[in-house]
Amino acid sequence: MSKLYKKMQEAVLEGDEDVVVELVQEAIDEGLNAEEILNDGLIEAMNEVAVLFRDGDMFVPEVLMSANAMQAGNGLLKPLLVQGVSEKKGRIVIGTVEGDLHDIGKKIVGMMLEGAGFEVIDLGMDVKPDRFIGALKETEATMLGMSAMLTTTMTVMPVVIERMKKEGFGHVKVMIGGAPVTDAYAQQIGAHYSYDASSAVELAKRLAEELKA
Amino acid sequence: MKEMDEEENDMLVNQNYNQTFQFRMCTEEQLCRLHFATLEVLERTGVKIYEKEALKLLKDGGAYVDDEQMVAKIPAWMVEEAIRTAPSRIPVADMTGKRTMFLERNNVYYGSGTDLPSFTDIYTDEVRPTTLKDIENVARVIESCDNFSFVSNNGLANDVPQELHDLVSLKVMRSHCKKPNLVTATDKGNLQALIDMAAEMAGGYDELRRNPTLLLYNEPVSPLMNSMEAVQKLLLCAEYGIPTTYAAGGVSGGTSPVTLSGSIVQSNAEGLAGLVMHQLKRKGSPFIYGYVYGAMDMKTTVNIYGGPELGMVHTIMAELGKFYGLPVYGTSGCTDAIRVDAQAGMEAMYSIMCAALSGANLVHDNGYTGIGLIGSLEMLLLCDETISFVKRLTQGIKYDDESIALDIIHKVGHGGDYVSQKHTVKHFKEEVFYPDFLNRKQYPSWKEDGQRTINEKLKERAVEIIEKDAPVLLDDHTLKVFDEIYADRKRQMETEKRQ
Repeated sequence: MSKLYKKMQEAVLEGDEDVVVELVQEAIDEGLNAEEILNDGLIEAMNEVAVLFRDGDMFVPEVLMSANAMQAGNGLLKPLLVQGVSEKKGRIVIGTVEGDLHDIGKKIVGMMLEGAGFEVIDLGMDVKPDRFIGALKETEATMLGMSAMLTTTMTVMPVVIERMKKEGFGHVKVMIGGAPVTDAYAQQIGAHYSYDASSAVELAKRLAEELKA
Repeated sequence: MKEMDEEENDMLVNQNYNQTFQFRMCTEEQLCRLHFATLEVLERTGVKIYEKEALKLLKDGGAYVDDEQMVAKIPAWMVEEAIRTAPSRIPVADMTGKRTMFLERNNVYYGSGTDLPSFTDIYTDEVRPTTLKDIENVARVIESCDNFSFVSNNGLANDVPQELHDLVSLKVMRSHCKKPNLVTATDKGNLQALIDMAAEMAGGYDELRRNPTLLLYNEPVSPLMNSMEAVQKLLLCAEYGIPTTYAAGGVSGGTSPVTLSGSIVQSNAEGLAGLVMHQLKRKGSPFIYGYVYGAMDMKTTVNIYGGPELGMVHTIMAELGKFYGLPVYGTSGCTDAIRVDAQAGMEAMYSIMCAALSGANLVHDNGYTGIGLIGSLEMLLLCDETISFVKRLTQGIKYDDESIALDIIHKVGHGGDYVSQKHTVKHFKEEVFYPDFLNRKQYPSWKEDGQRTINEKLKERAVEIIEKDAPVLLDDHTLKVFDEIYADRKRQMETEKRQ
C-alpha cells in the first residue's frame, strides 16, 4: 500500500494532475480507506511541498501545479469521506476591494491557501462591501481576506470592517494585503497584515489556530 | 501545447532574427585603419628583442634586423603570413583531458586572473600578503562556480620560495580544481617544469599538444620591448603547442599613447610581433591574441582596472581578433575598489557585460580587486553571479509560437492568471534569471532572514566552500611526480645560479 501512496505523493510533487487522479482511483478501487488516501497520499505530499517552497527548492507556479493536482485527487475522495473528516483548516472569503481591478496577488494568495488546506471562496475583483457581507452570510466563513493595489482603494477596507462589526461579523478574522498596505495600516483598521502569499498562508494558519482556541 | 506545435508548420518567410544583441564598436574601415597603422609601426619603428634565437628567426624569415640594437623591423607580409598560419580555434581541456573550452569566434569563457600579491582575509577583512592557503581556497571556490570555465591562481603566495611559486601554485590548483589552468611562469625553466607536470597528467607531450590543459599568460614590455624571458617562454610554447597569450600591458599615458586608438595600435604591434616570432618557431602553434588595457590615472599614477575605457578597448580588441581570425584574450570582473562594494559591483557588471557582448574568448581577471593587486573570495563569487546574470542577456528572447503564446493569451483571457498555467511552469526558469545572492525578499522577510546584505551572503558561501571537506583531486603518484619535477627544477636552478 505504502508504494501506492509514495507514487501518489510523487505525482502531487510533480504537479501531475492526471496521474494523481489515476492513482487515487486505483486506491479507491482497491478498497482503501478514503481518509487514509487523503492523509497519507495527498496531504503528506502537500506538507512536503510546503517545506520545499519554504527552502527555495520549489517555485510558486510549481506549488500551484501541485495544489491543483491535490485538489483533483481530493475531488474523487470528497463523496467518500465521512462527514466532518473532510473539514478544511478553515473557510476564508477573499476579494479585491471595490474600485480595484488588480487580481493576481489576491489570486495567488487564494491558490496558496487552498494548497495549504483552506477552503477558499474567491469573490474576484472590484468587490463591493455588500458582496463581502453577503458572502460571509452565505458561507459562514470565519476569515475574510481583502486586497488592494491602490492607495485610493485601500480606504475601502475599513469601510468593510465597520459594516462587518455592525452586521454581526465582528468575530470574523480579517486579513489584508497589497502593495500600499502596511502592518501599521492593518493595526489601525483592526486587521491582520501579511506581505506576500507565503506569509499570508502563515498568517491564516495562525488565525485558524486562534479561532479554534 | 500540442496544437501550437502543429501550427508551427505554417510557412513563414524572410525571417531574419537577432537571437542576441548585435554589439559593435568598429566598422570594417576602422578595423583596417587600426590594422594598417599597426603594420606601419612594425615596419617603421619595429620592436626591440633581447633574445638571440628570435632575432635570428626574424632575420632568416625576412625581417630587417639590427643585431647591435636588437631591433627587428617586420614587413607587412610577414605579419599577415603569421596571422594566416596561426589557428583560428584552440580547444582546451580540463585536467582530466575533457575538452571543455573552444576558444573560437564568439565563444566566451570566463576565469580568474594571476598572481595577486595581497589578499583580503575572508574571516577578518584584513588585507594581508597572499598565502598558499589562499590559492587553495581560490581553486575550491572556482571549482564550485558554474560560470568560471578556467582557473588561475588569483594570488602570488608569499609563503613559498618565490622563484618556484608557479610550480607550487599549479600543484595546489590541480589538487582542488579540475578546470583548465591559466598560468604565469617565472622563466623558461619553470615553464618547462609546468609543461612537464601537465604532460605527466595528460599522458605525454603529444597528448598535451592535442588537448592542452595549460595556458600561458605571457607578455611583452611596453613600449615595443621584448624581454629574453618572455620571448624564450613564447618560443617554448610554440614548440610544445601550449596556447599562449602575448598580450601587451601598455598603460595609456604611461607606456603607450594616452589616446585609446594610439594605445591599441602600439599594443597590437607588440602582440603581433610576438605572433610572428611564435609562428616562425613553429607554424600552426596556438596563439591567443589580445591586449590587457589599462590607463594611467593622472591623480594617483595607478594603472586603472575599472572604468569605462576598459570595456571599450577590450571590445575593439575582440573585434580585431575576429578580423584576424584569432582567438582573443579578454579582461573583466576586475575593480579598482579595495572592498567588494558598490563600485566593485558596478565595474564588474560593466566589464563582464562588455566581454560577453563583444565575444572575447578567454576572459581573465574575474575576481580582481584593489587595482589588480588584491585577491578576494567574495569577489570571485560576485563575478560568478554577475556572469550568470549576463548569460541571461546573451540568451536573448525567443520568437517561436510557443513563446509568443497566442493560445495561452486567449485561454487566460480577461482578468485571468498566468501563474497557475502549465505554460508558466514549463518556461519560467528558462525565461527569468534566478540569482544565488541578489536580494529578492521584501523587507519583512529579509529582516526575518537575518537582514543579510549581499556581502554577508558572499562571505557565508565562501566560508562554507572552504570549510567543507573536499578530497584532493590528484592521486599519490601524480603528487609524487609533481614533487620530483619541483625538486629537479630546484636543483637545476641552484646549478644555474652557480654558473
